[in-house]
Amino acid sequence: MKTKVYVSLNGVVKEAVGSQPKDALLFAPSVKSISQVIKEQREARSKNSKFIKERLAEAFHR
Amino acid sequence: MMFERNFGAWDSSVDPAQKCINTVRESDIFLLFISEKSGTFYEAPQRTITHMEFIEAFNKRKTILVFVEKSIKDEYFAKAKRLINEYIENHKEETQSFPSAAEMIIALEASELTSNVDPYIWFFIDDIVKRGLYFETLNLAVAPNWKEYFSDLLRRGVTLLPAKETLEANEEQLDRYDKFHDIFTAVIPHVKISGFHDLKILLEIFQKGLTAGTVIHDYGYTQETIGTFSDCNAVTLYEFQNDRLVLKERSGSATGGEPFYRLDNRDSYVALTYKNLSENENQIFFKEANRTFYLCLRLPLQVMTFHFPCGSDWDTDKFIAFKEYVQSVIIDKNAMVIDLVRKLIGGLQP
Repeated sequence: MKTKVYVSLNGVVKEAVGSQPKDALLFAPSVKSISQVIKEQREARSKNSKFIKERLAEAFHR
Repeated sequence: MMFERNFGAWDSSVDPAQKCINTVRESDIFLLFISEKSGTFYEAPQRTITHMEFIEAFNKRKTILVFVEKSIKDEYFAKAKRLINEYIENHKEETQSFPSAAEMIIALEASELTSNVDPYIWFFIDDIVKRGLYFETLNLAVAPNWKEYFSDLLRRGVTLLPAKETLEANEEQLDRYDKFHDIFTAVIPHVKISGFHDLKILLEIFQKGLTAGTVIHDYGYTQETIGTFSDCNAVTLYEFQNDRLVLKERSGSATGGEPFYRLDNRDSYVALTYKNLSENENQIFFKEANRTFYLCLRLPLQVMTFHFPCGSDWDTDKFIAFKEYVQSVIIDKNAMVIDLVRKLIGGLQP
């Protein structure tokens, strides 16, 4: 999802449209929280771990 | 391993489509050959049986080898890919939803694509491409070099076999770290944090824990490096007091930070973060003149900022175009450390 970028210049904050001067302060809020990122990383890790264990068991099953 | 040999006698009580899917599940390798015919289209799932077999193989992370007849592959990349993308975008704009496969087939049937190819084929290939799978060209006059393919697959397997114990030991250790993370996360809110022995040293430790990254744009078949940023070289901590945010401590090269920023100062990333964000949200700032990304973390009563110097190739246009990528790399790489900051500094009792 595309988020908006804002620009702060000489005390005025507005949406950044087009090129901006070098000394402009640009900013954009995060789409995801840190907690959400960690949750997703841990879920992915857990899923990958399960997959590796299953595949190893399958590969060595006689 | 081979589909036909595993298929066995047909059992009339078993749905033939389900039987196909089950057999894919039991297979080790999924070989897919695509020419002009797509097979039976099932209305309910809006997919052909071959497509569903492919999805099953993909979801079960089977080794998949896809071969597409040369003229079809060429036409897909020359025409069909663009037509499909245009159709999807137009449909999304008009209906705020993705088109169904049936709708897509009708549209493709009416297009100028080769008429002897079932329209579903284009939809199927598009799905394969969007899943990031590479496919080989199938030349009907020349058989694929199976010996080479299977020899390579055997080599890959044999190379990994001796790593079994190492992989298992690593996974067990990761499970232990994961469990420790659960305990740590549960414990911290029950600890009363009244202060720190040396806040500067604490910030320096956090600073060293936040590392550099490379911002990459992934095109599926290839990747492009957009730019890089260096390890965190400074950290500041400001605390809200009355109408202002007062500098509590800083580390690294953050020497230019003002002693305080009034809350209504709209040129300060510290004030903007405190005023505009809710607790535990964060945002990324960039100033081309400083060639630095600033990750600002809004805590209950503080704002903590991490400075990441970036290459001279970063300018305002590039930041506007790739801000999500920058945020994603900084946060994905450093999420655990930032979370620790959130819990410790944010947990500080007034």
